[in-house]
Amino acid sequence: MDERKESILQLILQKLPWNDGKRAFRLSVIVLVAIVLIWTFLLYVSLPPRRTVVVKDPQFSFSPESLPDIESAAQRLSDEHDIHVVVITLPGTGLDESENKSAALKAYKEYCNPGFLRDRSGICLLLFPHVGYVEAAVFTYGMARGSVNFDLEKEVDHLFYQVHAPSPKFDKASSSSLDLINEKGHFHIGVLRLMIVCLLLPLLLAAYVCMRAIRRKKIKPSPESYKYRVTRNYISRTDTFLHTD
Amino acid sequence: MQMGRKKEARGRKMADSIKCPNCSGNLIFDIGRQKLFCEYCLSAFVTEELEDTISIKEADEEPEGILEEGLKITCNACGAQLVTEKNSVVTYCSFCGSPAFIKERLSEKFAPHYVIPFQIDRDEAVKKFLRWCNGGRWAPCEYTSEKTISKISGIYLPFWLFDIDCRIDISAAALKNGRPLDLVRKIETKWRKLPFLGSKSFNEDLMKAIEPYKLESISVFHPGYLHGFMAECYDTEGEAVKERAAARVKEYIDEEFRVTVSTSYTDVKKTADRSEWKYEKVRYAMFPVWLLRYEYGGKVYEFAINGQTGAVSGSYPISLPKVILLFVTVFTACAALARLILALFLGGLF
Repeated sequence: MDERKESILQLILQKLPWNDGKRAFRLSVIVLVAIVLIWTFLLYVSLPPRRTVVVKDPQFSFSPESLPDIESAAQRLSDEHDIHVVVITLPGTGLDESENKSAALKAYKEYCNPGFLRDRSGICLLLFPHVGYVEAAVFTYGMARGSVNFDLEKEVDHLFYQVHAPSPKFDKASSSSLDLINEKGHFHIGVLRLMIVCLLLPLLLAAYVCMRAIRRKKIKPSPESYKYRVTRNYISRTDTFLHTD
Repeated sequence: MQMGRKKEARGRKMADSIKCPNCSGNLIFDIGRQKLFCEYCLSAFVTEELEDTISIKEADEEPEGILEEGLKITCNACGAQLVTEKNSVVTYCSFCGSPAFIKERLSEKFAPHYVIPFQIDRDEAVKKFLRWCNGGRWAPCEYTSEKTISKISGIYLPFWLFDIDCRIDISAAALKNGRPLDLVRKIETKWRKLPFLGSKSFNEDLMKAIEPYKLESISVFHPGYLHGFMAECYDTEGEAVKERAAARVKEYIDEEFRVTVSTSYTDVKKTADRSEWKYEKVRYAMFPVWLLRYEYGGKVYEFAINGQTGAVSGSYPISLPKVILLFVTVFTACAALARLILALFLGGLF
């Protein structure tokens, strides 16, 4: 290492906050506050929000008798799968996929917005009664924890037929929802894997980093014999193969 | 040339120090110049020029109680009374800062044959210390504080130097490609100035770790080299060190044998070891070491630098709060990152 590099290294070492008691204290406080804030945030985003069940019928498609049944079916779906459920009737044909998505997003955000990065797993059923079409949009945020999975199909069908069983015009909602799940590549991670990825791996990594950091330098053994040797004469150096029968 | 030494007064032992012949200021051994230097009149002297300043041959008998713990000596510069440790040869007056030389501890019996002068100065020693402990990143904050760094002291330690002539005679059995072999090694070898620490107060393993010294630049002893540093005299006789010397020689015999055995041989087993050695000469020398002792959590951590070559060794304390902080920080950062990756990249529609 040349002198310049060495002096730069020395300068860096001397400037390390750990070398100064006051700076070390300040840095420690900052790091501790950051840790507390991060964990508060993680706790906040991990707490499951209260689930919302909304059934809106601005197109007046549901009969007053069927509305309580639809609401209870939606509530059951929400309770069983721990998800938000939004059922809404819309005007139009529902043929424009992007329009449908933005309509679903708008409705879902309006009724089920738990906050930034929080678990917003749920389903939004868009009903277009004038043309007899249903679109189901699935919302997850990486924390679906198995709630929104392929088993939802039956439940959505059940709800759908409860709403519109008499009308043969409607398509199966579940096929749409499955398409969406596949299309968006929803990754169903599961609780165990989530724990491994978010807790166990970071724990192991932190332990490894600590072990590396505090690894003590070994004290060297005695120097080799040649360091003090002044002469060496070989009197005899023979290697003889032994005869074996 | 002014003699800095004063005769004993009122039964007290007087400390010695080498004074500048020009201005009577204290001379200090200057590492850069490799000379005794006067900080007051900026004169520099080769140590041999001041041959008669302290005559260690005067005290040919060990005065009674000279090796006692807590020996009281009087500073010859300010007259303050100093209490010395058992084996200290050179110390400092805690009142005026003058070097205090206890000549009787360098008498005939304790007079070293050789000395290796310091080549590494204090600034370089501090740099090496900081680099060795990574700026004290994981050590307690106090470990790299100015207070602790000021405790890094240059000290001459007593070493016994052994000249050993050895005749290695080893028979062994080995296998080469499954075929048995009979090995015979007869080697004559000589090791010179093999150093062994002559003090029980210091960690021998640590001293071995900062070996070897460049023995070709060893000098005949002169007290002037010690001026400006601490120094200890031996408390273990050369004879008592021979046991340790024998252990090292056995290691070296094994090593000499090992290097002569081909790496293609397997299952090498010694069948007879008739090696012999004799101690040709045993001499006493002072070797330079920069030393730091630091107590943390009831344990003493030692750090040493070879004062000639700059080789470094030791152990430093680990600060538990810092490690906990590191653990929690890494854990938190990784957990947060993993959570964000899951949320942002493996999530659903938004």
